[in-house]
Amino acid sequence: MTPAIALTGVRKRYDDFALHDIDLTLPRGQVMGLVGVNGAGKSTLLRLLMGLIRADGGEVEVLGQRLPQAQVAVKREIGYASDDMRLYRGQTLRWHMDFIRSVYPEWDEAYAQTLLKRFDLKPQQALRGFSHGQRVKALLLLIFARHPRLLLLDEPTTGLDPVARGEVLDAIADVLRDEGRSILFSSHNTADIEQIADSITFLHGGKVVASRDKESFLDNWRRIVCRGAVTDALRALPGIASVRDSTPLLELKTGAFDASTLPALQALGLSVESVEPMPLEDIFVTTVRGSHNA
Amino acid sequence: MNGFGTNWFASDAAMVGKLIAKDWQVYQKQLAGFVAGLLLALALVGMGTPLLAAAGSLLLLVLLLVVGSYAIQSSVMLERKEQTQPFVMSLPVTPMDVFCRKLLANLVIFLVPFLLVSGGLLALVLTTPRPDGAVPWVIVVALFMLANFCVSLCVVIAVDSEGWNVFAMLALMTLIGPFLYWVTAMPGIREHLQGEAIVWSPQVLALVGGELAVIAIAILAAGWVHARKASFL
Repeated sequence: MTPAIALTGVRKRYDDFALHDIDLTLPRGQVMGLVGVNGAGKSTLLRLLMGLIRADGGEVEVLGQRLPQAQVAVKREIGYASDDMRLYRGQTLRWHMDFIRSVYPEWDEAYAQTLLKRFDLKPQQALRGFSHGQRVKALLLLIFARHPRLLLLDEPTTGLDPVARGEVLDAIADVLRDEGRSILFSSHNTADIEQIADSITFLHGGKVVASRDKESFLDNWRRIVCRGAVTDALRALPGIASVRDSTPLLELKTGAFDASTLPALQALGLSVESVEPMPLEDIFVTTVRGSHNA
Repeated sequence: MNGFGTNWFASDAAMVGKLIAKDWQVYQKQLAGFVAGLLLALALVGMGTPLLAAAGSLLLLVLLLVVGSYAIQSSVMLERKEQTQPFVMSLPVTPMDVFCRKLLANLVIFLVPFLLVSGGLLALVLTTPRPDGAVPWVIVVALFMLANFCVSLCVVIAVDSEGWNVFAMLALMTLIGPFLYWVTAMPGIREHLQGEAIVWSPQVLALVGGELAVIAIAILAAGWVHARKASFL
């Protein structure tokens, strides 16, 4: 089966920022979380996939079709929401719903009504009276009610209060009940990504610094506290991304933890005190710092 | 082919039509107000007294300029500023669909009051005791206003900088006064203004041809620039 998204050697250069040779694949039916700090290139990548900007080089394939050549057909199957995308302030949500319905024949009015109730939105209210959270939910309603096969969500939960964030994430989780749907979801909030993503890609400085399935990310990363001295041999162990010396204790962070890790540490004269799994945020920060030091 | 940079035509005329209808719905209330103002100005011109006719003519000119500026600012510049452009571009459209929609929507929005004013003025000249010789002058001036609007619109579509857009619009507006003075005093026009015969002198035909050429060149140049853009935000 062709992937939902396939990027090969994609480049985009601005005066002060560049995306470098991005290779990325999102299999159909999967949710990929795109994690990166502000300015990492997440929005640029999603805009490339949506045809809002043109790549300087490389190949962009979405739902098996090349962009930008097939952008009209592809956009019919994509739902795109971005933090910097606005609806018409002077028009009501109902007007927007009618407009989207006129463009997309697959518009599901019954589902739209369900979402209106679920998000507690007033269809006859002009958008200028909506809060930020309501605007985000209105935008997601317009997307979800036409059942796109691929969702590109650029920081959809940024700036939302915890209740609205939970509602949005629940709605996204509902969309995923249809196994044919794929989602590329960017955020710098790793908790959101950890909640719904199947695979995770770390983007930093316009480069993919890591891209794997979520379970292997979480399984392979460990924070190890031990007693002993820092040596070159320790730093050279496979997967060691961070060594903090707080004599007499050492804190190690490794991205290649397996059955051989602890015996290798003991062979270097270290006495292991504790081994803990790492939250995604810690893994991200350690990975990004490692990419700086590389 | 619907790719960037190569397709000079809209890929989906029906989709462009929906976008134009959307723009019309978004701005119809304000435009209704402008049309009411224009009708009032035409009524003033038609009342016959020199003072009211002058006031009405000035109001017509100002309102026509305001309608043009309003249409361009609301549907192109404000769309960028208020970030509704990504919403439009996220629809199943090509950049050239969006170009055609911006061009046609603005032309439709402008042509309603423009045709009202131009048609009204021509009707006033032809159906009242005013000299019919003013007809070519009305047409030359009306086409200048249309060309002025088209060039402003094309600059705004092609150039993303708000500062340059405002500069271009203001610069083009400042040409209107000198143009009116120049064309009124031009041989081939001046001597027929007070006559009853409608004379299509070589000067009038050259001006009309030049104005139509400017409109065509502005549209082609804006399309050429738009087709080569790498960002549509």
